[in-house]
Amino acid sequence: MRKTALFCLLLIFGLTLPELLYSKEFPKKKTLTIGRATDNVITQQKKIEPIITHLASRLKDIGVERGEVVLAGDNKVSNLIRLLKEGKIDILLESPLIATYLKSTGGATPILIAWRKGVGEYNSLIFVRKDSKINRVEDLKGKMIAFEDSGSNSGYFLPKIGMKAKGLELIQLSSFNSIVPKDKIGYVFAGSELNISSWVFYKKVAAGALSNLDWNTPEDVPEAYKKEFKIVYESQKMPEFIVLVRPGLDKRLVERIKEEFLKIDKSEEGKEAIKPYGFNKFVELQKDSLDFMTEIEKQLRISGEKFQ
Amino acid sequence: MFKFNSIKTKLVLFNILLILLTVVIVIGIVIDLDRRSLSPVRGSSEALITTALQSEWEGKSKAITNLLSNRLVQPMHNFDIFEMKNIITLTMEEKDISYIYIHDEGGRILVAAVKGPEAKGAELMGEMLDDKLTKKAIAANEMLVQRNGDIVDVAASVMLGQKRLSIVRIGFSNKGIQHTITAMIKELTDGLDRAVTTAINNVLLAAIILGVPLIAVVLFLSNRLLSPIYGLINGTKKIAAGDLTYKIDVKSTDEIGQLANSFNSMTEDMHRYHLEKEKILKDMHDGIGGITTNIKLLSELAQNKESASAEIKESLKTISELSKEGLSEIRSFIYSLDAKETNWQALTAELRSFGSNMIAAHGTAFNMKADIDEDAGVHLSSLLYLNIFRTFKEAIANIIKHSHAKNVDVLFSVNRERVALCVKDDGIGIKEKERCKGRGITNMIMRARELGGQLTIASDKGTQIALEIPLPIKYLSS
Repeated sequence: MRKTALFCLLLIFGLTLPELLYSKEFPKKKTLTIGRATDNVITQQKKIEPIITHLASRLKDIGVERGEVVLAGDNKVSNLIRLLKEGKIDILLESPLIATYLKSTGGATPILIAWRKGVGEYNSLIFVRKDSKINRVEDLKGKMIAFEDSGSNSGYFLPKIGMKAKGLELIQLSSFNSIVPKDKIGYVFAGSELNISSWVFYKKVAAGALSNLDWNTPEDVPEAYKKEFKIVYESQKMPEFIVLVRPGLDKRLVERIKEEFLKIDKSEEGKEAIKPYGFNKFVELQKDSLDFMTEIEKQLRISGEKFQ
Repeated sequence: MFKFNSIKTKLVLFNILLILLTVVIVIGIVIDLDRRSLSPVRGSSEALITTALQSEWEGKSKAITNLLSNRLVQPMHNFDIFEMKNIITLTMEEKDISYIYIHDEGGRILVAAVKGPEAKGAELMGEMLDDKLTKKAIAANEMLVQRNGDIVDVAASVMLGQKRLSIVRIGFSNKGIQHTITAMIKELTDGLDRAVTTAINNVLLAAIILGVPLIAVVLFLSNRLLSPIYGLINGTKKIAAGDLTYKIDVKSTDEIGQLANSFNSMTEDMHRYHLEKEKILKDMHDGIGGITTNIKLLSELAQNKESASAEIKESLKTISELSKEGLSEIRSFIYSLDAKETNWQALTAELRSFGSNMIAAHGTAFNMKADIDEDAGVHLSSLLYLNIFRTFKEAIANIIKHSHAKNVDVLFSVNRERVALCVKDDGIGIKEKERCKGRGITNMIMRARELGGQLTIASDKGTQIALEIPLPIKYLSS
């Protein structure tokens, strides 16, 4: 009986030893999660899921069995911070503005920059008609500007905090027919890039805000429009998407994640995984890659703008 | 079974031609019906199909344009260009649509979508169009349909109450509907062609179905019709062969039946005449022949009487020889008139008998060869019989009287081409002058000419008289 009990103990020890040794090298992590804040959960789920599934399949050697997408609905960054702090999201794929906020508030660590549509960085533009008398954003007082929607970085947050940092006061209006107070800049959400450029072209609003990528897309800004526009403001250039990891994630696991992200565009499976989101590749952070964060933090501080 | 020159063959051919002619006429009528009657039907049907489909297609085009103009009211009111673009992009999925333009009142394109590999929707947005179609569309108060080549441009106003917000224009390509119209017209034309072809095939089938029994009926009727004629043909053959008792079995009373009856009457008359002729010949043989024989016998008996003087004996001898010759003439004449006796073998036997009797009595050798082609079917008439015999007889008489010949060779031949008689002796021959003196030679030449032939006389180590008559005999006209 004793011999039998001893044999069983030895057997259990023998079977669990490799697992204990592995846990010593990599913390036990069977499900790897990725997330972001969004107001369109279904679309984002479809776009991100192939990426985390591919990544998980590449990390089986360290015990990862599957990948999951965890989204903070209603574009609530506060929820994202909470999920981050609870350790429910391991990897974050965010715009530079929220990435800055996650870094400063949530302790997330930026590890990579994503390239999309062939470029690695972008900025936000404010444009007006050439035949208007507006030459700088300060001239927009008493006039109206069209943003894309409340979740857009380049089409809303960046130009907004840029203007606020200049001491301008903005007020949201329900439509372009609304009356704008003379000392403020009224803004409306056009819902799409094409509407922003169209409203400016047809003088429904005085100005519009778009990313430089949208500015150069004829489907968003037709050539006939563009000939009539001029740019009165450009934000600092910054990456469009940044990959972050939650605080406390094992450094060796982070290295493996980085390693797989960096070579994701080298295989056909990897290319297929990043195709829905339109990513081209992921690159290492450069020395000045995160300089924009300082400027954004400053503008956020000055503008007093906060995320929900 | 069928001979080309037979009445039966002609009747069958005539009926086949009649059927073919009927078929050709009916097919011609069907084709003419197709050309005269169906052509207008084709034309009117094509016009009807074209009008109906075009009308329905235009109605559908107008409905699509109208529906789109209604859907655009709200986004146009909100000036939601993006939404309008989405709506027209969805509408573009309708087949036949080539482009959709939404104009403002000034003709500027608010939103555009163009179908094709290089869609130019975005490039046209914000541009002004001032072509005729656009100007008319902008100026129109109601829905306007304009044609521009293969495109039908339908324009409608986007109205909010009484206010016109914009003008939507859809360019419909009518290639699709034209293709459909062409396909339907082809189907119609093919259907009519099939109907005509079916009608012609039915006519041909009916011709075959009816033609075969019709030919059988024609054959049956022609057999019935020609049966008495065949009887007539057989009758003529039998009579030609000498059977004058043959009668055609006649049942019908039509013209052929009447002809057969006439033929039977004629045969009866011929038979009666033949019997009478036989009686005459018998009477001649028994009467004149008996008297001549008696004269011959009595003259021979009288010659033997011692009381008769030498002069009387010489006269009696002459009477005896003349009687003998007379008997020969009578026998030849009877033979020539007796149908049962007038054949080539009988003539050959007669020639051989006469020649042998006459020549041998004068110590001259007589040799005769005959070459008769029995299969040639050459008819020996009484005239031919008598002329050949008399020519032979004259030749033999000349040899006895003048030739001093020791041998006489005769060759008698009959075939399909000619009748030839050659009498040759080894006597002293005949001089050229003497040929014209004798009545006998002239008679022989005349007889030859009468039969359409010729007589040649050669004299070289004897005399050779050759009679040659080409067949069929062409009797010299009197």
